[in-house]
Amino acid sequence: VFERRYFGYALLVPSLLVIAGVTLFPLLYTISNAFYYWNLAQTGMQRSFIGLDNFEQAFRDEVFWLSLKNTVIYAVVTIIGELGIGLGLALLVQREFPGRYVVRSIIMIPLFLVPVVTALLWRMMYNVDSGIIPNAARALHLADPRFTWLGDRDAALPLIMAVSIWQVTPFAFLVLVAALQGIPREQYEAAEVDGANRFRTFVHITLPWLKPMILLILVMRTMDAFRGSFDLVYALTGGGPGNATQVASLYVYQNGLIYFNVGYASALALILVAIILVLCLIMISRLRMEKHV
Amino acid sequence: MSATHTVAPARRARARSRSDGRSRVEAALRVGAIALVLVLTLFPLYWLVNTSLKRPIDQMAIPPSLFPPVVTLQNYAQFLATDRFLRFFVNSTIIAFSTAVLATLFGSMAGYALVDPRVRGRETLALGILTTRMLPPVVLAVPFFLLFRTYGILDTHVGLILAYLTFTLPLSIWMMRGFFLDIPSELEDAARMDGASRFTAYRRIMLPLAAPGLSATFIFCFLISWNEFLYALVLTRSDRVHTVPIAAYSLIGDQGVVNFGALSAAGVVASIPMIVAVFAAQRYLVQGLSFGAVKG
Repeated sequence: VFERRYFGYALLVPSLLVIAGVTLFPLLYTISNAFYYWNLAQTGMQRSFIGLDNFEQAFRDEVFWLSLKNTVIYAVVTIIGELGIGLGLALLVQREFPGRYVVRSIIMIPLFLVPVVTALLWRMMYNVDSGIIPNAARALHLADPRFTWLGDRDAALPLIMAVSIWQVTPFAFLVLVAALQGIPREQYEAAEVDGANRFRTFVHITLPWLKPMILLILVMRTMDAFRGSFDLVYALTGGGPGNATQVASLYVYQNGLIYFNVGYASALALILVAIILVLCLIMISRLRMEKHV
Repeated sequence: MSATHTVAPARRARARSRSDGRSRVEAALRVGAIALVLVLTLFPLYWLVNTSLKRPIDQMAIPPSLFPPVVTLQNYAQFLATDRFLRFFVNSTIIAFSTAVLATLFGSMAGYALVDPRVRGRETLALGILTTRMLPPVVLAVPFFLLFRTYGILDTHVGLILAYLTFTLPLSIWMMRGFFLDIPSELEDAARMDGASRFTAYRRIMLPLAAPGLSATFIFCFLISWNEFLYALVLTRSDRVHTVPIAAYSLIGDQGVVNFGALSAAGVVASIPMIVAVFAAQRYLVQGLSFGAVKG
């Protein structure tokens, strides 16, 4: 009887211990650090309690606001791009045609390249002098010869977003292809019998069926855009030129692990977590209403 | 009802003739669109391979040539011949493998518990575990650095494995939970009737049934650990522990890209194990990517 009741709980123990140790404890430590002035770069500097000063400083920090703005732009544009292109592609390969599986397999490759390698590859292709993209654009008279690509303040962020879309669109594509396969054939037949045209079939059958999956992609990609923009930005521009491509995760990294301003970086990190939590919990509650998690 | 039946064939015939007229144009457009996507996907990959096969002197040509004027393997030989690069590969393998083993082991236990009707609060717990995924890695990177420094595990394999469990374990738990949900509980009940203990039923019945799930989970945990960059950047210092992504990044000097050829060759070699793993786990890709939320 004892075994029967407690077996399940016993199986949870190792995982909960690990999560407590490597996630909850460091998080609590960060929360505590956020209320201290603590700079490892200053020798002899003690960790001293300063209340909410770090948060106050964060709200006045223009670079932090800029990094948040860039992160939001990055998230919105890349997610719309990935969803739009991914959905279009999924609909394209929905029908049977020879080589369909080969096409599907090729499309997903970018998703599984090492992200840093992806970034370095594009950095090479964007290279002003020897990169294939600037050279092709100049040869076709599509770009001003003086245009500096990743060195251009206005163009750098969109160019990084293009890499992100190239890399992650397969995710939306794969999920939507899987979802499209689940649509019962009878529904399409019924629509055809009713004389519905392609567009109406799409709006009234396909889209509602895909809605929970689209929401799911939104949730996961929002988390990733806030989390994962780090690798691409770090390896493509390092946040430059100036702070033109500064994103929140990179700014926290720089404050905490380059300048070793631990207390301040912890406060920035907590603000970032708060924003992500609010965004994702809203979307997840929507998802649960659709009964899909 | 009968009216619909008589009208339907006529409508269907009309719809078909209309689509016949349009089908050629449509097919051509579709082929064009698919071809465009394939080119956009494959060209950067081709460029990586192309650059890796060029001689250093051809790397700098302006405009760059679309194929290597002289094919050379010297970029590969250059780092494959050194002990250093082998070391990075071994490090990545040790770290990704250990992380994946631990995450899959613990995750399969917890995933099973989270579908056990006798465990109270399992839904809430599952959601709580999911929320840990929302933490940006950089939020944990700072405390990890401080704590690892204090406990002397900075720049060790163990340290990096611990850090990697923060994102592999929740993924593993959710994937395994999804796989266990698909196994009818009657199978376990039947084994229990035959007098098996719960542990025996779990080990002999449930785990073998979830075996494809176990291997897919393992491959996914391995993959995301292999690709990880930020923790490796923060928590490793020396070649003794550096992983492949760090090694690839270090081929860039402070003044920009130093050696395109070596970089591309490293990129190709670093990506091959992953692409193999992905094709091996193809059936479960969607499930893994979506935290077990979508059945592929």
